[in-house]
Amino acid sequence: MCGKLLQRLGTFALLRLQLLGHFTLFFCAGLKHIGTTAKIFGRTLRQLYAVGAQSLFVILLIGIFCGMVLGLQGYYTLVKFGSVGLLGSAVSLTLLRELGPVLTAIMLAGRAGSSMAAEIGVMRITDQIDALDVMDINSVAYLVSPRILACVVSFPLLTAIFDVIGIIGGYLTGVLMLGINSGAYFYRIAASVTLTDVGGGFLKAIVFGLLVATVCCYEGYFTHKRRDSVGPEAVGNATTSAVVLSCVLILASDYILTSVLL
Amino acid sequence: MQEAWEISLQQVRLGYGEHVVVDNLTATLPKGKISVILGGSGCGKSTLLKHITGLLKPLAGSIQIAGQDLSTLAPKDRVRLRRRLGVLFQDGALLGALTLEENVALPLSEHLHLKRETLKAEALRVLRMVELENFATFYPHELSGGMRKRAGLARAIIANPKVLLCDEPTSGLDPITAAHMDDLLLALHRLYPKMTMVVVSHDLASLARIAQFVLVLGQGRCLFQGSLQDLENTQDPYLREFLERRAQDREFTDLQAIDPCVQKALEAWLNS
Repeated sequence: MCGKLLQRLGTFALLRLQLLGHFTLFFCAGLKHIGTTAKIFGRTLRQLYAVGAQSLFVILLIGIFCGMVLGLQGYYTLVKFGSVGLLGSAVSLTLLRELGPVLTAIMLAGRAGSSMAAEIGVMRITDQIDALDVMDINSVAYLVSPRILACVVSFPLLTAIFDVIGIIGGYLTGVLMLGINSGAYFYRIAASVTLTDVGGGFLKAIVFGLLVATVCCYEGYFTHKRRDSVGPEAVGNATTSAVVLSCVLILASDYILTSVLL
Repeated sequence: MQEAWEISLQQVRLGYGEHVVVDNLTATLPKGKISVILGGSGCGKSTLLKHITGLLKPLAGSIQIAGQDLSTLAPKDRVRLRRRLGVLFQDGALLGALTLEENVALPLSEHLHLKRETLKAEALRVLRMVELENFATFYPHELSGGMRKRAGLARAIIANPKVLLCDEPTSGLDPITAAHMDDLLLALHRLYPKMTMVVVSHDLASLARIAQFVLVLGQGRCLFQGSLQDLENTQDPYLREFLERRAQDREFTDLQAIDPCVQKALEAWLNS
């Protein structure tokens, strides 16, 4: 009984390890071809539009509400200690260090990542990836590398927009609704935010971009190898796995990065 | 003048993992001719095509194209050999994000440094061959199944292949469009007489029009190989059934009528 359980655990661990190795090789292949494909610029622009420009509205929406909630919660916490003047610091540091990169990445995983996984998955089950291979077109270079590059570029940019809009959201509630002094709000932001905070947030955004793009492309690319389903159902399952795994990895890597950066 | 290429299958075992689809297949698809691979659904025709293109490796035996085995070639040589293959996939396998013109020009635009105008002219040349030049700016989802197949054919021939592999080019098409596709393949064969063509099909009308060599797969093995005339004269019972479109004699005595309870419920729902 105990032996069988151990055997199952061992098989499970080996399979996961194999999967990790496979994923790492896929990631390396995707990165390698960023530098080797001359035509990557045009394809990356197309992906930048899909990942970046088309996600802008939702990022603005989430950013403003996130900032407003932070302003509201921050105000009622700080007022107990008589330090509402620190609201600008609280809102900006929370956004720049944590909520900006994490929420942006989670939103993008749900919006752009799921679409990447589904699109590549459909290409797989309709022989489009096989067609690329028989035309001697490297399918990883064609499909994965531009998406990785687009995510690495657009995640920090969208994070920056999220941060700025979030700070404006905090201003709306803190200053315009609850009456904090406008000068104090912005003075505290300028006094407390350092380049390390901004850089740390961008670093996180870049790592999240790499993770989301690779996980979503990987799930889509190997849709045909899923054991739980085939055909269109496999595309649906691949998309779900891509989003769930991306979110878990975003939060796990956020913890690791925060530990290193602090 | 360059020689045409032949495809030689030596004791090939095809399958996925441990599941064997076709075993001990030995045949030669002659150079410069149209070979039709025939067989019922699920007999391994498309699987064989995927093995010939090198997308899958045979479980045993060897597949040689112009005397070279794809599965044992060095990666560089494999790439060089693959460049001479043109493949038409079942539904065309056109990239959904590209227009027809971009799809067709893809093999050239990815590998050659040609001017945009040259690429466009070349794409239009092959699109004209398949009578789709007026649809060059359309996306694949805006086309019918037959048009997608013809566009897939245009993409397969744009790089001037030595071997053209077509996976069920007439399946799912109405008789007129299917006949049109057959005519197109015959016209291409006249235009490129050194091009070896392999067509996977289970369409008997198509077989009669285009086949110069026939390979029949079924029951996990090769059932016949030879000329169309030899196939028509065969006395093999399974092949006769196949050619005469007869099913094996079966009386279907075990068919059951709908359960009365379900029938009653169904009636009530239909009348509601």
